[in-house]
Amino acid sequence: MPQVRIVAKNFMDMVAALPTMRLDKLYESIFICEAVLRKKETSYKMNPKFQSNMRKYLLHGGVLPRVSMPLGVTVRLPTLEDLESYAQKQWERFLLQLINSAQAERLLNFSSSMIRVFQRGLLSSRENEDPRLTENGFQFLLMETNAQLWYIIREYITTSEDRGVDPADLISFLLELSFHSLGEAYNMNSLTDVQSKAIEDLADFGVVKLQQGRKESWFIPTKLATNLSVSLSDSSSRKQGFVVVETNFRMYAYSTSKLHSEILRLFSRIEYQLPNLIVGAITKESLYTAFENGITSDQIISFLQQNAHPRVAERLPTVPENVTDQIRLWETDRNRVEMTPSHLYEDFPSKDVFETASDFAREVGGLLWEDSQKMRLIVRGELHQQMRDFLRRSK
Amino acid sequence: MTGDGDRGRPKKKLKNSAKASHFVEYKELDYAEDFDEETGDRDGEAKKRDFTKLELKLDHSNRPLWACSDGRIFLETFSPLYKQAYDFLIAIAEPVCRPESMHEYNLTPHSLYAAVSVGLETETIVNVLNKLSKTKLPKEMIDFIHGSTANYGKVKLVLKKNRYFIESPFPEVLKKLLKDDVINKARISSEENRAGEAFSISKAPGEINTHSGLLDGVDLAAVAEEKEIHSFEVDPSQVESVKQRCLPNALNYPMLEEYDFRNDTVNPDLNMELKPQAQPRPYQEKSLSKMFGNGRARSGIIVLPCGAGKSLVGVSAACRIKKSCLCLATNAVSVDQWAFQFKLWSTIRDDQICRFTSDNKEKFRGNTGVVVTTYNMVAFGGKRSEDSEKIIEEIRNREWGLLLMDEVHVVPAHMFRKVISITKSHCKLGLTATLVREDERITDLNFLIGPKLYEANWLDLVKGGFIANVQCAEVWCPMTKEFFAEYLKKENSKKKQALYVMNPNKFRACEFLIRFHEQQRGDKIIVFADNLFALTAYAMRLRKPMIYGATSHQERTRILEAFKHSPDVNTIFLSKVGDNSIDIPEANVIIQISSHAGSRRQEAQRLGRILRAKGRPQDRMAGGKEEYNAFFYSLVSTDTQEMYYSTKRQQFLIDQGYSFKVITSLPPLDSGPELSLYHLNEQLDLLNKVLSAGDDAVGLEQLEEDADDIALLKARRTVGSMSALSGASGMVYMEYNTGHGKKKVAKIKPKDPSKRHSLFKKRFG
Repeated sequence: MPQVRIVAKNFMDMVAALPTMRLDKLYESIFICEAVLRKKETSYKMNPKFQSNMRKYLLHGGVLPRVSMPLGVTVRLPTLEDLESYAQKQWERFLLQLINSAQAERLLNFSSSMIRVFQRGLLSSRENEDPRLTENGFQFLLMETNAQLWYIIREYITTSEDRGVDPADLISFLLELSFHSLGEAYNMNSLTDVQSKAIEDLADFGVVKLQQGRKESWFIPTKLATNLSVSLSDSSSRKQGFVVVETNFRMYAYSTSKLHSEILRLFSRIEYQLPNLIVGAITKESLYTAFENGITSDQIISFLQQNAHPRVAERLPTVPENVTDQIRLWETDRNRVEMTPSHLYEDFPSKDVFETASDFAREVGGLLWEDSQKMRLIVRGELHQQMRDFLRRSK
Repeated sequence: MTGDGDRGRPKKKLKNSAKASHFVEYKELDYAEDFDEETGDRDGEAKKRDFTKLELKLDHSNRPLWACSDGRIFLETFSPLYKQAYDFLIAIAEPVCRPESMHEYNLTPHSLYAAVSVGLETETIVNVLNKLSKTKLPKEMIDFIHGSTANYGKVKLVLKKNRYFIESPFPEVLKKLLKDDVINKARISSEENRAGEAFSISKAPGEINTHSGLLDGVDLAAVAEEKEIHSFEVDPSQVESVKQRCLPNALNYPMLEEYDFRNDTVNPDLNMELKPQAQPRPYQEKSLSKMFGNGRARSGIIVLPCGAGKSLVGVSAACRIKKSCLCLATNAVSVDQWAFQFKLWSTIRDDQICRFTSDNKEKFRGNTGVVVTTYNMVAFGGKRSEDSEKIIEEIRNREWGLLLMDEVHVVPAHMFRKVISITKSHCKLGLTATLVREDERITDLNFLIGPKLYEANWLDLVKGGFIANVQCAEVWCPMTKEFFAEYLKKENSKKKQALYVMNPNKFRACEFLIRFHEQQRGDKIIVFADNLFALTAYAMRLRKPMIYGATSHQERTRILEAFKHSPDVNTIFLSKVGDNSIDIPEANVIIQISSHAGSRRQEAQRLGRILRAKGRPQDRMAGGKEEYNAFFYSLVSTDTQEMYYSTKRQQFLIDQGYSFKVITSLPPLDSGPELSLYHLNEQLDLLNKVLSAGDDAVGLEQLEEDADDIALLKARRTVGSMSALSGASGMVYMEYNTGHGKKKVAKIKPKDPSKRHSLFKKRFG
């Protein structure tokens, strides 16, 4: 399984880390100037190509990315609220599909191979089993939306070459997109082929909304788009918590989100789903399933604490102590058994052979257990070769 | 559709723990009834219920509850409407769990029966519920309420001037009843309306609005007052059979019983009042208002936690009715306790109250008074002494204004039937602390005594400072290697319990806790052990006094006196006799080293021993120096059956909002030979003792009832009946509440970790 580090860094840092060849290509785009200028605290040595473009930019002023369509053509544009909830819903749907939830509606245009690419590192599948969330995957789900989007976009860009798309084209388009105005309509026919292919994928993420008029079709950037190139720390508005955990291990989540219910299902038993409340119980069984999937008690506890409903958030501790203690205890309970690969030796021809063998095993420090009556030995697995040689010799 | 109350409860399995085919018939009830049940409805089923389709109202955030079509209701306790909603829900639904932020309730046919019987009408229930609900009420729930209340509460049996009347605001219902032969024959037609079907008509007594403030109390009051009441009279000798005909298994119009005591001129009044210092607390007041809501006395059950002052409620009820009162308790000690309570709280003269037990056959003088006795004394069917026979005759012949029944949850149904058929009473009031609801007996209680009139919320009482704020802890004691090896052996199957109770680590933890509380806090400690072998071994080794079934009365008194008054005796060991008949108000620490399997009730009752609020109220409040002044430790050996039972046992308390801390580091790792059983050879010696003891010696203690008539006649050995085998015969339980009229100090206490007892700070630190 490839090791994937979850990096949720700044867009510009990533751009800066690109190889020169790619950067050159990128500098042809004017929007890079705009983006670089916006970042004041760091200075960069100017690439010649960039420099000339920069000069152009400074002389002639900024260029608007694309003129938004006149209102007459685009009827029934969504309100900003609608747009935001659309983006949220779309993103959630994507995530649900990503974690292979049974709840997910299969509506996305991503190919299953594409989805598998995104799942890499987040899900693991053992043979003949449904893929399960890994520890990273769980962490991913607990991240904030912008950080999640970032992670996915990264994967999207880095794998673009496999789809025959130049990453630089993609990056400059994404940059460009972030300068579009939130909620305005932009004509689809202003897009290049690569861009119009990408815009459909982005619509699946909820970054843009696509609409079709009588003759024309257009896309509308959502908040996710405008947040794309902005440093993450600016945009991370504190999300309000929604979970109440009681001393009797019952959990009440004020949420309408299917995704929340999927996350909670990872470590609790969901019992009731109400229009704006999810009722569940943290049980030994539900936690054991979570532990088996590599989710740790600390992750669960910090999720419960960070998402505590405002009603209990000011209370100390936010999650009852007996519950957090018990979650930890259940976890340590599972770690009491230590596995040592080993070999069992039996059917010794005589007591003497048995005893010399067990003495030998003890000497090399590999004896785990012996039963002298039944003449059986258990020795560490890594010493099997030595044992075999020894036994052959003593014959 | 049926409510949750009826949903697939696991059927009780009969457990025959004492393998003998002969049984002591009147053995103690032994908690066997909740031995093998699952911990609750919700554990049995993991399937989730999807009610996301319910339509949210626009102003849902202002409303406090969600109602699901399967009868489950969720209540936010932080809603501004919480208090009203709580009062309403407790009247119409069964509480499932009541922790801090969110309560859960179930609508069941029984709970709705209780609701209509305290005067709530079907439409009112639906309307108020709809007002409180965040969503539109599911249709199924409305139908369920209609279905369950269609017949209940429509018919009342009223005793007026010693004539029995069947009353109803619905003449068509009365007509339906009269089609039944038994009822028709029992009817006494008065002269004026002999001719036809006409009923006498009168105005209903107005409901004193007990739900004031509940959104629009106006509605409630209006409905109750406008109704006309139709009634007909029945023959007093036929009343029992008429009642039978009305039960759900026949005509299904169960009758509510009300007693119009103010207009009862036939039975003489008993001149007694509450003393001025007897100030019922708000929740006691509320439970009384449910009982006397319309100026008459309703029959039913009031549920208050141990230590919350049930006896004051009982005495107050008797003082309001002011007629002869028969008070039934579970054993002789508790009879004394009740007599004392009557004298403490009311102005009753000493010659107006008498106790009737095997030791104490006080004669009844005068024409009114209070008699305190045990269920067994009344229900006993065998031969009695001459004295007892006379007194029983007296009890049978008298018409009682109030039949006051203590600890109704432990008395078997057949006993109730017998007692109720023997005694003639106008009104029946049952009291209990722990109505464990999976118990099928609730059906019997509902129709034999009456519906549940009120149930207090434990956490609210703790917050109000009315009962002690107990810190509960489960101490995990790992089995030592040697004990665990024996525990796992098949041939030791009968000694499993002895092995996990005698686990040296448990012993050391117990010793450590006793030292800590005796020396550092100056507490008084009770150690409970059901296992007699363990009890003796622990008590002997630690040199502490112990009391068990065979301890003589004098010996008990001596030990308890010493515990109460001597600074040298701070710990006593009790077998399960301590669960019921021993009142020890001084104790504030309980250490439980062994217990009866998965009994939730035993756990709650044992906790009840230390629930009585102690010390000054201000110390108990948030930030006070004694925020936690009572401690309940349950010691369990890890990886044994005990762990499983322990989880089950705690369920009742957890549902009341208590939480159990798990402590894994007792005794502290650095403790050495200053605690017993430090050396391996000592441990092995102990192990040998356990293994060499006979299987009988290490089993559970079997108790015989020792304080009344039955025991004096010597327990007869008979072939065990089904009820005896299942533990459903015999007597049991009691606990005392001498609510000392603690002043209410209402203030909510946030938990301040710095006020925590040092043992609890340590964990994970």
